[in-house]
Amino acid sequence: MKDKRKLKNLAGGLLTAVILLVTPLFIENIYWISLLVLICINILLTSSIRIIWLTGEITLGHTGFMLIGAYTSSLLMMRYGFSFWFTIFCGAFAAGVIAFILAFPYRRIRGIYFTILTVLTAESFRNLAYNWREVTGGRTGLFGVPSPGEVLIPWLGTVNFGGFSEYYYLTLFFVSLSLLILYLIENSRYGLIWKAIKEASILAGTVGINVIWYNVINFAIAGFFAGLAGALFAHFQHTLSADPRSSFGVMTCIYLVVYMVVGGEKRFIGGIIGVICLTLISEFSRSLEEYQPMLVGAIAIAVVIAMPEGFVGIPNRIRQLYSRVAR
Amino acid sequence: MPNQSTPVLELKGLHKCFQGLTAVSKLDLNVFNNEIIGLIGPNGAGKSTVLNMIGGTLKPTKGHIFFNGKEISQIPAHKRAKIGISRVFQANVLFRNFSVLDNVLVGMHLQSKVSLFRVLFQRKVVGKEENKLRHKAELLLASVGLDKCFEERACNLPHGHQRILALAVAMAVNPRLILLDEPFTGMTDSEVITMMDLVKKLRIEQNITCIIIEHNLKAVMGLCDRLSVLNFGGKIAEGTPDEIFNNPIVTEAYLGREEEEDVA
Repeated sequence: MKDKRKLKNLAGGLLTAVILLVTPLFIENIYWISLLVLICINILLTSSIRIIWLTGEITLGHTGFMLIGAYTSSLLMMRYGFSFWFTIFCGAFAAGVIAFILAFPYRRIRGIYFTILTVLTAESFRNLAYNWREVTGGRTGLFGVPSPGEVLIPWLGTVNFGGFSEYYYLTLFFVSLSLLILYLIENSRYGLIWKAIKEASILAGTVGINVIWYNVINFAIAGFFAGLAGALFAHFQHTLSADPRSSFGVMTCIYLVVYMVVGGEKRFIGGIIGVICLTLISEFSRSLEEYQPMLVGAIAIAVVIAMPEGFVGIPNRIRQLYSRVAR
Repeated sequence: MPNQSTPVLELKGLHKCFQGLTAVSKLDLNVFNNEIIGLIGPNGAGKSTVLNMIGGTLKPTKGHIFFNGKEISQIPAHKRAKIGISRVFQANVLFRNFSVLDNVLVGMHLQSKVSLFRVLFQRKVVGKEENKLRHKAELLLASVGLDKCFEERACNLPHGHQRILALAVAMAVNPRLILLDEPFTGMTDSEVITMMDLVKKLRIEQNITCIIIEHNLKAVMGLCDRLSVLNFGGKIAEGTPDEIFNNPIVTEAYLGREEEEDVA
C-alpha cells in the first residue's frame, strides 16, 4: 500500500515537473510567464508561512522578511556590484538572521499576540524602507534592480537570465530546491517536534524538547525562505516600493495565509494548490475589478465551512461521493 | 527495596506563592532511590504545585530542590528531562492528534540526534536511527499492553489506555524519577490494577523512583512505601500508609474536626 502511494506520488511529481518545464515553450505571452514567476514566488512564501503554522502559530508579518531579502540582494548588487548568485543568498541569509534574533523574544508569545507582533514588525520594516531615502530610495522607491545577468551553464552554454522565460526557469529552480528542503525538514524529526509543540507544548518540554529553541529555529528557517522569495521578487520586478499598497504590505500576507488555508493547511502540497488555484481564479475574474477580492473571500469562506480540509481534499470527496453513488 | 542512604530528591524549604496566596509553605521532603512516595491531601493542598516545581513547569518562590545532590530549582523542564525527571500530568495531556507510536517517538526525543545538516545530507543514517527508535518505541508500547494500537490516534483511545500511554511517554524519556499526577483518575478497578502493576514493574525492572499524587486510597496503600500528607500547602504528616491512615491529624484534614456535643 505504501509502495503504491510512493509510486503514485513519484508519477505525480514527474508529471508536474514535465508540465512546469515545458509550459514556457507553449506560452508566448510575457504576461502569463510573469504570472508563473509570481506564482512560484508566492508558493515559496506560502510554504514558508506553513512552517510557522506547524508550531500552531499564524504569522502575518512574513512580508517583512521578504522585504529584507529583496532590499539586501538589490542593494548589494546595485551599490557594490556583487554577483546575483551571491546577493540572493545574502538576502535570504539576512532575513534568516534577523528572524533568528527576533525569534528569541517573539516565540515566547503565543496566539493572537504573536500574530499582532508579526504584523507590527513587518509594518516597522516597511515603514523604515519607505522613509529611509538614502538607502532604499524612500517613497520614490528603488529603481533599476538588475537582473541576474549571463551565466555559463554546462551543456546549455551562456544563458541570459534577464529574459522572462529564463527568469521563470531560474525561479523554478530556486523554488523547487527550497520546497524540497522544506519538505524534507517537515518530514523529519523537526516536523514532528514542531507539531508536538503545537499539540501540547508543556508535554513537549517535559520530554526534553527545548520548546523556545525549536520555535526559534522554526522562525529563522521561515524567515530565510521568505528572504529568498523577496530576492527573487526584486530581481524580477527591477523596482521596489515599500508603499503600504505594495507587495510588502499586510494584505499580501493575509492573501498568503488564505492560499494556505484554502489549499489545505494539513498537507504540504495544500499551500501550493491554494496559490495556483486562487491566483488563476483571480486572473480569470479580472473583469470583476473591485469585486475580485470579494470573490476570493467568498471562496475562502465556502472552503472553510464546507470543505475545511481545503482543495487537497477534493479527490477524497469525489471518491466518497462515487462510492456512495455506486452503492 | 528502597536505598535509604542518599536521597535522590531533596526538597528544602520549598515555598510557592501566587500573588499573595501561599500554595506551598516551607516543604521539606526526601525521596530515596527506588522509593514510591505518595503525596496525598485534600483538594487545594498544594500537591500538584509541588510536582510542578519538581518537574520544572513552575519555579519555586523560595527554597531548593536537589536531584542526585545537584540543585535544580531554577533549571527549565526540558533540562530536567535530560537529567532524568519525567512527568505524567493530571489531565490527559498527550499529543492527542498523533498516533500512539508517534507519542512515544516524541517522548524518545533525547535519544535522537537532531540537526538540519543530518536531515538534509545524512538521510540514510538518520532513517536507520529513526527505524531503531521506532522499534524501541514498539517494544515499549508492547510492554505496557498497547501493542495493538500503534497507528491509532491518541484521542481515540479509551481513557484508561490514554493514561497508560501517558505513562509510556514518560517512560520513553528513560527517567530516574517519574512524577505521576493522579494516574488512576477515571480508571476502572481492573485498569487501576494494570496501572499499579506497571508502576511496580518500573520500580523493579528499571530501578525508577516515583512520586505519586493520588486520591485513590486503595491504590496508594497498595503501591506506596511512604506517604507525605499536605494540607494548606504544608506537610502535616509523613510515614508508612498504615501510620498515616491511623493518624487523627490526617483524618481531621480530610474530614474536618468532629464537634463535641454538649449533653444537657
